[in-house]
Amino acid sequence: MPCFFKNTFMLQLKKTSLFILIIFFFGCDIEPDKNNTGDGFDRSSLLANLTDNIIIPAYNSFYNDLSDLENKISEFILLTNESNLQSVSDSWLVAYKSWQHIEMFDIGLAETINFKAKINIYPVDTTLIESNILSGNYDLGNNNNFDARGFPALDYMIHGIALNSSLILAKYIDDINYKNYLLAIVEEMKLKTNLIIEDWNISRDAFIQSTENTATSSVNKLINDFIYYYEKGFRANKFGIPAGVFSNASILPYNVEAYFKADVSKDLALESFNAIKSFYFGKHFNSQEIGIGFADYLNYLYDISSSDNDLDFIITNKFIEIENKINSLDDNFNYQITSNNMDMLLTYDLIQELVVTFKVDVLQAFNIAVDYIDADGD
Amino acid sequence: MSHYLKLYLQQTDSALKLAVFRFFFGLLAFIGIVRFWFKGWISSVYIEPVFHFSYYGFEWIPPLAEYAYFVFAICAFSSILIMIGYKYSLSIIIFFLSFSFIELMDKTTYLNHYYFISVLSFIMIFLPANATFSIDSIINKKNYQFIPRWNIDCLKIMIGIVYVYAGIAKLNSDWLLNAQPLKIWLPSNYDIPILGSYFMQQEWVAYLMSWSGALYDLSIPFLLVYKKTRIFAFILVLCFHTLVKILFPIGMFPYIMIFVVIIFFDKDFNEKIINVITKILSLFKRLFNCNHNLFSDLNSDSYKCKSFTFYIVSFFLIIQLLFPFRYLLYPGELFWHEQGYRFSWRVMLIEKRGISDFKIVYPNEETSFYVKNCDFLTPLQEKQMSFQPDFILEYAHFLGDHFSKKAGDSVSVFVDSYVSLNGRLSQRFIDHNVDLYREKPSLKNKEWILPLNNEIKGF
Repeated sequence: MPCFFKNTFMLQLKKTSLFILIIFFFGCDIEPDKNNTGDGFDRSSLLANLTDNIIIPAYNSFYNDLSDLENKISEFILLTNESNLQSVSDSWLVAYKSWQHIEMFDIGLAETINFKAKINIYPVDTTLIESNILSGNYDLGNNNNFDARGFPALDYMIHGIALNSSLILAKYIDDINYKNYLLAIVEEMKLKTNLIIEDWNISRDAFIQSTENTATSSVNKLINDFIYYYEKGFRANKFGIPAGVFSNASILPYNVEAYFKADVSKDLALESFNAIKSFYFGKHFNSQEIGIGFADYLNYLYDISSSDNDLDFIITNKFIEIENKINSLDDNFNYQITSNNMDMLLTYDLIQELVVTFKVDVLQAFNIAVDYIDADGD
Repeated sequence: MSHYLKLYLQQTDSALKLAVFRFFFGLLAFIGIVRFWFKGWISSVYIEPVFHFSYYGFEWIPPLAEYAYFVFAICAFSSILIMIGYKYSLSIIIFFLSFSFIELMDKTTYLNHYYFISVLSFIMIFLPANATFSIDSIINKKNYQFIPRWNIDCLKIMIGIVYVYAGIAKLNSDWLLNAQPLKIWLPSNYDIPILGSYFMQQEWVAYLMSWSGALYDLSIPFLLVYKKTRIFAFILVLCFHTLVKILFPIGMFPYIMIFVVIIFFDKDFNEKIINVITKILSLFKRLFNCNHNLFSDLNSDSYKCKSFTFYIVSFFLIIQLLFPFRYLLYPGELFWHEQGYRFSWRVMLIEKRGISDFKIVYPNEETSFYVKNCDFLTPLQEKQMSFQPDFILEYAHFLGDHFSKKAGDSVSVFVDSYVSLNGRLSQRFIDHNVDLYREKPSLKNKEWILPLNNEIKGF
């Protein structure tokens, strides 16, 4: 190699390597491209569909149902009779079902203020509720009252403070503090719901543009929250815990959702399951229309990897299996676990199969990191 | 034979090469430690977890709680001393011990390049990397121009082992025929500017990168050895590691791999690097009003190594050649059971996810319950535990101890574990009828790992 050639080559090499090193050290944490829509799958449309056609409508509907419940309670306070108590109970159930479509969106302000802990922690602490009522001095916004508020507290107030409806009526007639507490619960729920709806209206645009693959991007947070809800809010809270899966006791009937009116517990579970399915398929809230959902994302990845594993097909079939199994249970989960817990456990096992599919197969397909730290493919 | 060996041992090479290597080693180790510190990982990896996963045989390494910061500080300090070459023989030993100690505290964050740093620092204990261009050489007024050739060669061999073994590990049907796991990893890089939205979504790109990656690993040490191909090889090294850095959260690894290959270059190249460093340092020199000339008392003799150092390093390299093949002692699929997987330069080879739920059964067999892993493990620990049998066993024993103490009687621990490997559908991983609390941790084959429903051909 002639000497001059070598020298110019070395010089060039020096320049290029210097350039690359500069890129290295200054650009080492390359900013993800936030506005990418170029590849085969449009995550922005996915987020827009989930936000505009599921999350926000579900919140608005929930707020309306809470307002209706508040009105029914006001009427009941003015005219405390059996039929008004019944309409409070009916309205409570409508709002409770409506809530099942919201609990999984533990995002933004809802996550910051721990919204789900303000609305649906069960079992309730009835002693705490009674002492709150007796003292008349309570702050339901305070987290000390986490198990003395929300739907489970309403359940107790409407169905549980006495043995039957006439005795319950008598309590309300005798003691104005019961009426006050009943109203205070729903007012607190409405207040917090309103805050979150306002927050969604402000943050909606930024939310649907956050499509990058990072711990805090909207796509990843939604998937993680969805799977967490399926595992915890649905599987554990509604089935596993009452059936005694996580405790060294045979069964925990008191941990059934809506314990004081347990004949609606299956209804609530099915409603929650509907919300789960709708979210996965991208089905619009309260409508038959289907938009872009995570099912489409899975199918997109399935297509580009020419994989043999049709995850969407597997998940869809498991959805059907689980729904049939839940339908075969008694309407009253308290009765179900006390009379035949084995069926409850079998249902739990079926639900658990889908946890495996979600947490292992789906998260692998989406390649979403659990925690962000250096890794070299383990 | 011994005649050739004697001749070989008499050969010398430029001391500058080793000095440059030492300088960058210290610098990168320092940056790596500081980076780890600033990311808050000392706390999240070594202090926050209530339970730590130990390496087999190193269970005695104590989790240090807040004192972990102290060990990191020692390690960072010694890496600075290595860089400037001050009290080198002591500081390299302290660095090796403190760095290895940190890695041995918890295996959750096992990374091949951390192991690589431990290995290099062990070899460097026996090398006179302070023979020139070091504070030691100024203070001692002993500045050597030459060192034994084997001092350089042993590092080249070690780097060669890393590359070639990483390449051999890629010669399997998942990597070459199915382009896994790149087929999973690349599309998720959709948010990378320019490349992400189109190229990363193409199946052929995954194949191209799999094949060229394997070819790169297998050939790069040889391309670096030959002078004619060296520059080409270095450009390849730069391109490859830049791409790796962009695509994967692999931390300091690319920088380390780029700077260590400088050892393959000739004396002139290394001299130029030293000139650049000296120029930068001379700014400081003026600042401190220091008049030392780095090359003042240049000694044209070669530094003499004690002969036992050669035998120790050779023996160590032979172990390095053999150790990665220990997986052959275990039946079944290596990527699945991972027995003999670590410390073998298997990098970026598998995408594994799992879920492992532990069932505690009380002695009377009447009651049982499932453990919430988040009560005891951090999310990162839970993720790593879920698909690695040695983690599962260790955790099962921890749970067994914990709940036996609570129950006042020895409980049984079973696991429902499902794992997915390189895009295969998940399948049951551990025999759920085996009481793991009764299984002793050992290096023997873990028979309670269920076989993979599939065969991966190759290494």
